[in-house]
Amino acid sequence: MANEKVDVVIVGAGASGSTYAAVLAMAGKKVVVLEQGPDWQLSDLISSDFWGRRVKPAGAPFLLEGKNPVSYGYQGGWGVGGAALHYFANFPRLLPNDFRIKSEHNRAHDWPISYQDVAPYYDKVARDIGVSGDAKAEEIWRPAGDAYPMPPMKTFRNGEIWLKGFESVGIRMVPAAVGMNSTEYKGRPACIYDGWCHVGCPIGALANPLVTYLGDARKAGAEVRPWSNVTRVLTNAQGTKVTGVEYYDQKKERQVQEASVVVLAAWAAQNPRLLLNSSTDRHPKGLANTNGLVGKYMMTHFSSGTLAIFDENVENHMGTTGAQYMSYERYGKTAHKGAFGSSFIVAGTALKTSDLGGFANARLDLFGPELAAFMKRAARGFSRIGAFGEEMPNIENRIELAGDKDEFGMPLGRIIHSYDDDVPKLWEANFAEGLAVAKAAGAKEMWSGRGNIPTIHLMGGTIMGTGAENSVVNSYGQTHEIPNLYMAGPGIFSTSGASNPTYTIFALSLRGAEQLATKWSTVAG
Amino acid sequence: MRPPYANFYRAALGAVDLASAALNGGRAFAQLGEGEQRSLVDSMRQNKVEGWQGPAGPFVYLLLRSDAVDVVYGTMEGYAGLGIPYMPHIAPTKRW
Repeated sequence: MANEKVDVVIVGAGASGSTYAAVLAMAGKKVVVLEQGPDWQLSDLISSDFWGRRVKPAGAPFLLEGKNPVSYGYQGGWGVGGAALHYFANFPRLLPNDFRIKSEHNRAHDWPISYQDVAPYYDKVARDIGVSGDAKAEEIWRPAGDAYPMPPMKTFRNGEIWLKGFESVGIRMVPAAVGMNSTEYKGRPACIYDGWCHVGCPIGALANPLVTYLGDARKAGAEVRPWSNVTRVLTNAQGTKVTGVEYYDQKKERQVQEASVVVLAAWAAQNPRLLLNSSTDRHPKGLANTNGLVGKYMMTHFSSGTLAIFDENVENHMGTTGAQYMSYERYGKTAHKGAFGSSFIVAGTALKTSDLGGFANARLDLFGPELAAFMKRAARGFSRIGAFGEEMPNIENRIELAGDKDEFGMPLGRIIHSYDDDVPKLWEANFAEGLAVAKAAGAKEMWSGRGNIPTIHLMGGTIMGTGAENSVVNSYGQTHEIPNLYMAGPGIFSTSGASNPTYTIFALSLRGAEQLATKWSTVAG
Repeated sequence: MRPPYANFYRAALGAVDLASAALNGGRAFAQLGEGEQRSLVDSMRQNKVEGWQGPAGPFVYLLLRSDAVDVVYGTMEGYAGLGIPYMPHIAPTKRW
């Protein structure tokens, strides 16, 4: 039986799709959200890194190529809530300098909007879903805005111990802005600081989509269909409008969901894969891709972790997976001499033993009895700080369709990614400064978390710009080519900044969704 | 690496045994003494096993090490052994 046509079909139930679903359902639109993975409940979020693997990416793999292949085991999601079901909820925002790199440094490109265009949405998201922090303290680096609705989170010794080290190198640390409850908020309880955020917070103290926008969307009548694997966006015969999507349901049967508007809010790599796979005679290179920019300018963050053991019990199991303290002190694009790009600094992270963030990974060279001895010492005195770095957009970093196909006959996606020469310089500069901080903080042992340069937070691929000559979408996420096709998520970022992206994802999604609701008749008509 | 992941594990464990047999007179990894096992793992970690066949040694090391860490240190028993409060919101009823 054919599905009844709806106003809007949203592909992906993560941070961006949930925000669109909430705004549009509350505006009275009939909304269907198609989610590739399962329909998680809070009670599924078991406090265990083993069990937490269930909410990490599954499904068709991406083929990973280039000098610095993208690692996505941790930054993606699987099922309702998406990656935001297990994110750390660090909520730094982009700063004004992120929006005008071209104008100020003749590098990369400017965004088509300014910080001031996004700022009201940062404030609105904070009120909607709950953010704890100290906005006044942040305003040494950014324009003033609203206060956060909750005071900063508690701090613990594993964060506090670093403060004198930062002070000694001239880095001011302020309470981290986080999407977590320091107090009860909108009926959701306050955080209990047991550090299991990264496998999902089942009490709803952390603002995951289930307890925020997706919950609002469902209350307003949005339908969420899990196990719905979207393969193509469909268009009318003239190719001037999208008409819905093709997907495969849990029984692996083909379905079509017609809609007046389509919002692609899947992972940043999956959205271009879908556009490229939706080619027609009218759109032979894929939808919204006449200019060939779909899938281009993929960007990631990299982090320079400084690891240390202190000669005291720092209670590193206490707190949240997000940060207790943050700093934009090195956020200027030329803050580090000889390097280019922003750095965003965090300190004070609750640690578990295993999985990506576990302290067993602090010494990957150790195994057997040596690892056992290290684990004993680290359980008492280990802590770490980190600096996220910004990668400049490069058109060669891209998504393509591969020859191999998934179980639904859809070509696999290939992510090709290589860092340019700026990245190792910034990476090294942050390592050097991190060691200076650790030394001044009185660490007994300290070392840099080296290995391959990491790739975290995938962004780009459907970037925003001033027109079809330089981008795929406008600042609202609306594609230049097909007015009733929207893109959502970090794929629309023009540049990456160095801040964790999800706060900006929420803010831009809210901005795009409100514009869509306001201009509904001209977009969907 | 592409699913099904069982294929990778079979290839990885096969490579370990193949290297073990070549270096230790035909004995599989499980038949080695502790010192011999550690020596092989250390060489595999650094990609220093001559004639290694199969998935890259350092990658095999990282993956098997991650799983072993989960099993030994990532469980409630593992936390207890290190004296760390586990503090679950929802405790796992099974280890995995």
